[in-house]
Amino acid sequence: MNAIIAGRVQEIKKLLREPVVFFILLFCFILLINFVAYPLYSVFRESLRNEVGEFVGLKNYLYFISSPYFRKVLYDTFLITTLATLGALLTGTIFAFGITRTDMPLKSFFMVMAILPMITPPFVNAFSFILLLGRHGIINIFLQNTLGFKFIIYGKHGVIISQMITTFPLGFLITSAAFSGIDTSMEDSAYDLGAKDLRVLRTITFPLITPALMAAALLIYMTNLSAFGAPALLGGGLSVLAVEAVMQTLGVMDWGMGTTISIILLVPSFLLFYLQNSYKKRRSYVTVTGKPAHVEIRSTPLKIKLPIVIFCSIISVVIITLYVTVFLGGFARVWGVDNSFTLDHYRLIFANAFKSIRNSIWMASLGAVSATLLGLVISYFMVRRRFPGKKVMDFLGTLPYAVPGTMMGLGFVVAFNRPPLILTGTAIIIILDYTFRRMPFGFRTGVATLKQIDISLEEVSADLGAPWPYTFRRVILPLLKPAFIAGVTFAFIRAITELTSTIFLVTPRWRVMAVDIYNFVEAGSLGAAAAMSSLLMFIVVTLIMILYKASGATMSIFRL
Amino acid sequence: MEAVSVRLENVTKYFQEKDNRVVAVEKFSFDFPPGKLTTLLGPSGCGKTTTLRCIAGFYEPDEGVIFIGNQKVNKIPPYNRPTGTVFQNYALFPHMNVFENVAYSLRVRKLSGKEIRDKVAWGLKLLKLRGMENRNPDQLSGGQQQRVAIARVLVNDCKVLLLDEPLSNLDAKLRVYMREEIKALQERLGVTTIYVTHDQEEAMSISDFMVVMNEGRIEQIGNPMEIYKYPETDFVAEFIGLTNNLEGEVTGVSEEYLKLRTAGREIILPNKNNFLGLSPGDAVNAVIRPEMFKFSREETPKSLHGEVKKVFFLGSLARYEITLEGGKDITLDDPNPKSIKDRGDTVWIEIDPESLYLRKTG
Repeated sequence: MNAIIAGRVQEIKKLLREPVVFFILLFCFILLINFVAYPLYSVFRESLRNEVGEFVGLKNYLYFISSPYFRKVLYDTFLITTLATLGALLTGTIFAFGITRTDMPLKSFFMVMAILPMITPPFVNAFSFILLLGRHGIINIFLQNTLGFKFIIYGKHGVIISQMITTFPLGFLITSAAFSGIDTSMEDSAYDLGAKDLRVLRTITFPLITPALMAAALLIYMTNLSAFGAPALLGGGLSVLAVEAVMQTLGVMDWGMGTTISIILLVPSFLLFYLQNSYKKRRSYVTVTGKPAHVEIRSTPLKIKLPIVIFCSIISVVIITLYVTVFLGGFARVWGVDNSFTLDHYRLIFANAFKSIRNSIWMASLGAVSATLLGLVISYFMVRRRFPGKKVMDFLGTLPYAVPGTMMGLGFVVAFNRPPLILTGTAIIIILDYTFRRMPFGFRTGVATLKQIDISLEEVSADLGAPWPYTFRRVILPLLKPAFIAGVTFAFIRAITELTSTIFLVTPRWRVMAVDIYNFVEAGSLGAAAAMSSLLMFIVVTLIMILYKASGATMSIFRL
Repeated sequence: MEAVSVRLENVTKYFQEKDNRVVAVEKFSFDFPPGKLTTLLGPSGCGKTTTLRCIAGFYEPDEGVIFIGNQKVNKIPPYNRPTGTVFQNYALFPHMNVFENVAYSLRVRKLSGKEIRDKVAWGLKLLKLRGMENRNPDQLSGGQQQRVAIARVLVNDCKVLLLDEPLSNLDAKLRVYMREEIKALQERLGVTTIYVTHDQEEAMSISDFMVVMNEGRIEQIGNPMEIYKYPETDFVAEFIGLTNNLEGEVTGVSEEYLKLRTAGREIILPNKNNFLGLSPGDAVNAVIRPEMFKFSREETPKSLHGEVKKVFFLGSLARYEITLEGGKDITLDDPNPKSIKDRGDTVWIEIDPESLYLRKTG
């Protein structure tokens, strides 16, 4: 015990010898406590009050449990999330298997298809489903005219399909990494020992990627659980927890109930996050040797290849249709009713919503850069330094990753609409929201990168006479550059397409594109929504192209 | 350049592992002679690298003092010490080319452009790296990377060169070549050098002095010949190559001969002044390298008797495992095998008395 205390004292003494490092560390702590811990605490505090702000203890929670309405919301949430997750996992795995383990044609095309939904706002595909299969959706009009029935997308099935398309890329990325890590000689041995194709798949290939499948399932489940856009747009009569948290607060102004619901939503998210982390640590068979696996793809039997190609093609057609529809929707006078070409929607957007576009771009840029910088600085301390409170910093640094967007947005509102720090209604609060919500990504990328950079590089620099600030500037920062570019790109995409937490923070003065699109759809201005969505995707794709060209950054930025 | 000495006095370093305090180096005292190459030799985990890192300044010793020249350096950070470390993985900066890597310390010191160019050119010439200035580290072979790492510390006018297992990432042939290069360079520059390795052959071939370490402590200090011939502990005897330990008892000693009872026989060995301080009745441990045995045609006063158990023909030598009378197994190397003995043959074996080392055990 004494040895531990003595160790701590020595750690502090060592830190104080480097005042620059000490103050940066202190500053990070203050930021994390103020913008991560404090907002979440505020949500909890608020959940113990009623709609007029009186302390009522656990009354909101008890009401939630006893109310048949909320019980149904809870049930629907888990039903939708479970089915969407299973669908996404299956789709992602089939894509991954086809691309990494077979000799099927069009691999790079399918790969783009499997990544595309990640870089577009999650609610845009929900919105596109409305254009296709809503009450006035073009497919439905066609069906009505020819066959006399409609396939209305609103309802559980619609949310599930939309969520599945949005989240299957996560499954694809994780499982394809696992598939490429399996040495084909293991499968060859199984063949050699007399097993046939399907038996090899069942007894060798899939057991080997089970840990990755579990990790993917948990991550997808978390994402689906806290989704707001698709259920809000496609839910029809039903509601889910994330939607309910927004409705209770922004709709009926019952902040006590809204915050209670988001706390209830936090519990499973947290649990999943914890499970995912412990799984990651054990995820294993694949990289035993540390050497790249030997993967040799030979011709795949047609009975395996053909169903995969057909399946991937169908999904790809759906995805392309969704995006083409949104693009076309921006040019149709009244979608589904009068499909004549017009530029009115774009004119309207540039006249009325130009501010949103400008805001989105600069606020997301600033948010992405600060999120990544902060994440990288914290990752440096986590990997390279010892200091008291390290575990707390690790926890607070990853926490926003596990916290649903609605809760983060709610937290910022209830924490910063009163002294000591009033920020609501400003641009700063939106940027801070982007910063702290996307910080864990910079943090994780930084940790992964720094762990691969041998500490001896820093030691050799010191040995050659360079004090720490010089080493940081000349050695550490340049080596973190790829991580920084990847982090900023990813954070920017996520920030500019962010809806769930930003919806709490926008004001007429500080509007952003994503929230505008949502409001357009809600108000029935589908043309304007489509035009704005097209523009948003154009910005994102342009940015990725520029960075891709400029830095040679690869698709690895989508590694999670 | 004036060579400096490195003096360690009772240096002790602990590591905190969970709740345990583990001793990595315990009371290490040695005065590394100036201008000489000294190896720290021992198995992994013996504390040799920790000792090196204390000298470089990456670790602060928990007890004891370190002097470089006349300066006590315990509290001096690595960037203010006159040491230059070559790491096991070379630690070349991947985002800088060869020139910039070598120039790093000169830029830290803010030398003028001309001085930097001159010094880097000197370093690259010394290490036979001219023409490689613009290559990136990943375009170099392992041997070239290592030369860059050495050039990088040498241009910094380092007074103490610290090498941490510098050859372990090279293939066998290159290892032999590079260790000769390092030795030649060290002699030419006369820089005090401390060299960490776990490879006894490497250590023997380049050291002026060797410090053999085990479990954080110094086992023995000496020049390669002394360490090989007169190992003071069982550990050293075992670690420095194959060795046979014969227990025995001195039964008589004079200026001309020594009588030794061992392996079921009493043998008489001529005394070549290497059996000083022994008297009849002493229990001794005879440390015998495999090449110190040789076969004799017939029984002689100094021969032992045994039976061949295993035979390995290794090209330039034949190695035998032989069970002596009384059941003791030994290894014998026949460096000039004209004919190979078979398993089951009974043989007479003599010990080369000149290189025999008897260590008192009781």
